[in-house]
Amino acid sequence: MTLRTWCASALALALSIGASERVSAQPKCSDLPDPIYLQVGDTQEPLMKTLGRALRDSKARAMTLVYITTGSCTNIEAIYTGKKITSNPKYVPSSAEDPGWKTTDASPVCTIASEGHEVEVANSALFVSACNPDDAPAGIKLFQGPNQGYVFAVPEASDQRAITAEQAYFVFGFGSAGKITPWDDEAFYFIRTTTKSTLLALAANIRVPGQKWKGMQLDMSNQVVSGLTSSSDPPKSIGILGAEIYDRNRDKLNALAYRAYDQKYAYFPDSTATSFDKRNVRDGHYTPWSPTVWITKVDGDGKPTSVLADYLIRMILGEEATPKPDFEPLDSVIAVGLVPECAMSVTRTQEGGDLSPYEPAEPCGCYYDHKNSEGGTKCESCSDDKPCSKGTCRHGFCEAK
Amino acid sequence: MTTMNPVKTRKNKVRDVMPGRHLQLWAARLGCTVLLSIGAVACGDDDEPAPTPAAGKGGSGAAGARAGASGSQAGSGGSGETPDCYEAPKTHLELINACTDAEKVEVDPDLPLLEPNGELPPLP
Repeated sequence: MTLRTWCASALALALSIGASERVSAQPKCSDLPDPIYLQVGDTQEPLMKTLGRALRDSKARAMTLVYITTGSCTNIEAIYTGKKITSNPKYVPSSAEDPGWKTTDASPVCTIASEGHEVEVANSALFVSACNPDDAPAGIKLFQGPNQGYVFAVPEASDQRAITAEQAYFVFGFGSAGKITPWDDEAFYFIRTTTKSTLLALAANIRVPGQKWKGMQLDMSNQVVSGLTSSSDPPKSIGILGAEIYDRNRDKLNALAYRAYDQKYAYFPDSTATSFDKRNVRDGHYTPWSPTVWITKVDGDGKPTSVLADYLIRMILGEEATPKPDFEPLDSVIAVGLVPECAMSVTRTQEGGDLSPYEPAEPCGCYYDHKNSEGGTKCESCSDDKPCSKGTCRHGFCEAK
Repeated sequence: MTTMNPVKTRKNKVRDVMPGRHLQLWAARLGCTVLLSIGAVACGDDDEPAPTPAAGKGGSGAAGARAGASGSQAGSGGSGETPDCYEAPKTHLELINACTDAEKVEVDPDLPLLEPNGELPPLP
């Protein structure tokens, strides 16, 4: 064996060992600390990552979010029918496991058991009735969580700023035949499939049933982003996204202000095109939004049978959880662009339905503004040592009640 | 709840330059609006909450009641009594047209396939 041959063999062996180590580095999902298996919409992946990281690092109650992303209607069907997760899911690593991992990075993958694993928590990013009008099967309960906006988005190079419900009706209901300038070529409509909350939520708002939408149906939100950013004709291009996905791609895309039927002006989800406060979702000026719904098995008292599911859902809903988390779960919800129920002043009962005024039982609007509004909150701050002159001290601010 | 298709749309804002066909359409709609408004005032509609107009925020006046719902249809070219926005919104229509300092975008879309009566055509 010549020196060159020996070196080549040694290099090949080293690469082979390295490759096998990388393969073996993919853990079994069941070996992760306290795994909980979720099937969520891809608009909820930012929440999985942000909340998942905090939970992995928690000293109070650590757990590992193990999840796959599919359409809301598919998720509902999976937990209603007991369909297992059989493909290798993603999971959120701890800081000890991967100190450099950020929530903008891809999540690592773990190996699922050969027989698969049941879905312990499923997510729908819109009213479940928009996918399945039947009541949930016995032993399964829906928990209505924070709200998310949906947007019509265009490439940065487009000069469009707004779309009306009527325009969207013609664009997506008629396609090229709708003759709406500049969106008069349906080859440049980047939409989602009919099981996805993004399409169904906007469908209900513009009154074009999901099955009738014209355009290129894409499976993943990132495909919509890619389609828009790489479009050969940006002025004619338009797509649909969850607001959290759009918020992470604002450098490449612009959300259109939306004018609902019977509305005078078009509004952005936020109070301005560049802010992140979701004020118009919260107060009803921006109508394309839906609740996220978290679905799990429950006992006879309506309490989740899985302790981990109970703990997780309580945090997503902003409810008291025991043991008390050593981080603020509400921050994770707010940080990803979701609007907790406690920060809403309007509500609705069905997808795309009329809005009505809403007063949360335990409001958190002051805290939401503090975390998310450019101007902060105008509410009085408070603490154990500094009680409120009126209202109730919650999350450090004097809320109305 | 919101009525399903066909849906009567709100009127587009009157612009300085208006295509002839749209001008005719607008004039016809304005006439209908005035007649419907007179009818609504004459008949009364106790079910519809009284709007709380915002002082000093009046514009062309568009954010009125739902088209075809109570007769007090929103639209430009109104008598000026229709509030531009609502200070104490209670209904869906008032909530989406509530007074706000949020950034707003005025849109005047061209809708070539809109029915002559202002309704959206059925989907193909």
